[in-house]
Amino acid sequence: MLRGVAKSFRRRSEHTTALAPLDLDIPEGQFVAVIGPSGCGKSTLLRLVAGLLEPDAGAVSVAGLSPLEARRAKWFGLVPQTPALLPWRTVRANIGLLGELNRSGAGTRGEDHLVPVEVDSLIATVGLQGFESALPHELSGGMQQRVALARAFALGAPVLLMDEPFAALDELTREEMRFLLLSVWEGRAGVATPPAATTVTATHRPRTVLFVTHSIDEAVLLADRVLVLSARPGRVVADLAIDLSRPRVAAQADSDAFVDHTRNVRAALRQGAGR
Amino acid sequence: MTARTLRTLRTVLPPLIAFAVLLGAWELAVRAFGITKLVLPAPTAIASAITSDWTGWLSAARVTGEEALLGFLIALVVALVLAVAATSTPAAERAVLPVVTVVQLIPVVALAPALVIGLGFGPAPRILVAALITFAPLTVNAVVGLQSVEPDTLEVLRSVHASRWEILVRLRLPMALPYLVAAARVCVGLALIGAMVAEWQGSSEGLGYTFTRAQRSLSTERMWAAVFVLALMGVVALGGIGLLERRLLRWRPTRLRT
Repeated sequence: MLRGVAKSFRRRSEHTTALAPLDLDIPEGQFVAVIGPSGCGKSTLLRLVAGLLEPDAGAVSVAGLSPLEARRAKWFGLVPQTPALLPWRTVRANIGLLGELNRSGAGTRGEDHLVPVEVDSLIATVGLQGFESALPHELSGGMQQRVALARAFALGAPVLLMDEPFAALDELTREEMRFLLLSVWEGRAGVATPPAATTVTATHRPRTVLFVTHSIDEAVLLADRVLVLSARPGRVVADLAIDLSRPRVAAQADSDAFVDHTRNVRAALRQGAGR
Repeated sequence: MTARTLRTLRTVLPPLIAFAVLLGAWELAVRAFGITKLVLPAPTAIASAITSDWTGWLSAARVTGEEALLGFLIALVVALVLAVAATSTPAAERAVLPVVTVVQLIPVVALAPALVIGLGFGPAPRILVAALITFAPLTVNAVVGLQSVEPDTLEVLRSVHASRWEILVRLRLPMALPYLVAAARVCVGLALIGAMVAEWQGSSEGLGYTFTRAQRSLSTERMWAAVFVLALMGVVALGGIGLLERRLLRWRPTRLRT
């Protein structure tokens, strides 16, 4: 869905160049992990795509729309590093939040791409049954991040932007969340498929994911493609295809192919860091 | 006795006992040392000054309370408008905050005589004093509250192109609520004091008027009574804010622990 994207920009913050000019083309439905050392501009890249930051040069286009137009038409599901829930809203109300916003733009150009997911089925998918009416502070960090994930999926936005969403979680929870994300994204959980009665096509629509991480294992496990950025100013030092079969399972992490991929990513990271 | 009543007793009894001891010591001291009522009236004398004229005190309290409340509400509206403006652009923020600081430093109570000259002997100058005195804490807290929004949450809303209005109503204002409640707690006392002191200047009603009239006739127990009634109104107002807080801020984890 980020087809035909030719981005080249220089992002300057405090007179440092966060991202060197770069071109990037992401086909629809691809799961792309972006990895790189701290401060390499991974998050900047994400924010440029969503139009939350303006590039100094170059242009971003999302399926022919500018980031602003795409945002207006609700193309993005954003999952930040913190759950970023509204503390006075219940789990259900938090997941439904984005659907209540920006109604003035409803039905405008490009909104036919939305495949809204029923909140209740989404709650079941992310394993929060029984917690629908709970408030965020009553949930653990992992559960809060599940709500954030569900919120990003609820609109049925075709592009998911994730900024180290699991980085703040403990190791076991993080692993759980990775497979939860995969199951939702790969459509195994049935969430991406709306109720048959309300749709013309019951086919699962692949979503494009831009997933920022600093975990090599996470990048290889989740993605179809890993972009390795160099230290600041960030530029793409490697663009690696991960051809592991889907659906991904935990056992794959022990396979030779997986280990090879992580080795390649690590080597590229070293090279990018100048070590 | 249920566990609940026990718990209530445990929270209510200690302060009650403390007040009883304090008033008892006061009463005792006045009687034991033969302190004249010109120096310090006994609590019982003050109490009978109140109970002998319920309706008079009630109507005076009502006048002062209304002035304080109106002043507070005006200040709240102005504070919210300014805080929203200050949150929208950095330039507006730089314009608003110094003004607030200066207003805070003005001895508003000392301004009361000038305000009476300008606004007449009606309630207007008293309301204005109550508003001016509560304006700064309300504005500062409103600004801090509106800006206490997490950047991540803001980005999530912006990612679906939420309007400024939606962000204000659905995110910033609820976020600011705990800060406003905290400010309101501070302002209760300020508004009441402001209204009462302003009544010293050419007023013909309210607790401040009762106070100055009692002063002229050296009726110290009535002067003290006016102060006690004002304090009592503050306690009631704080209780009301506490109830409001429990209703509105149920989502705050800290509330669970109290």
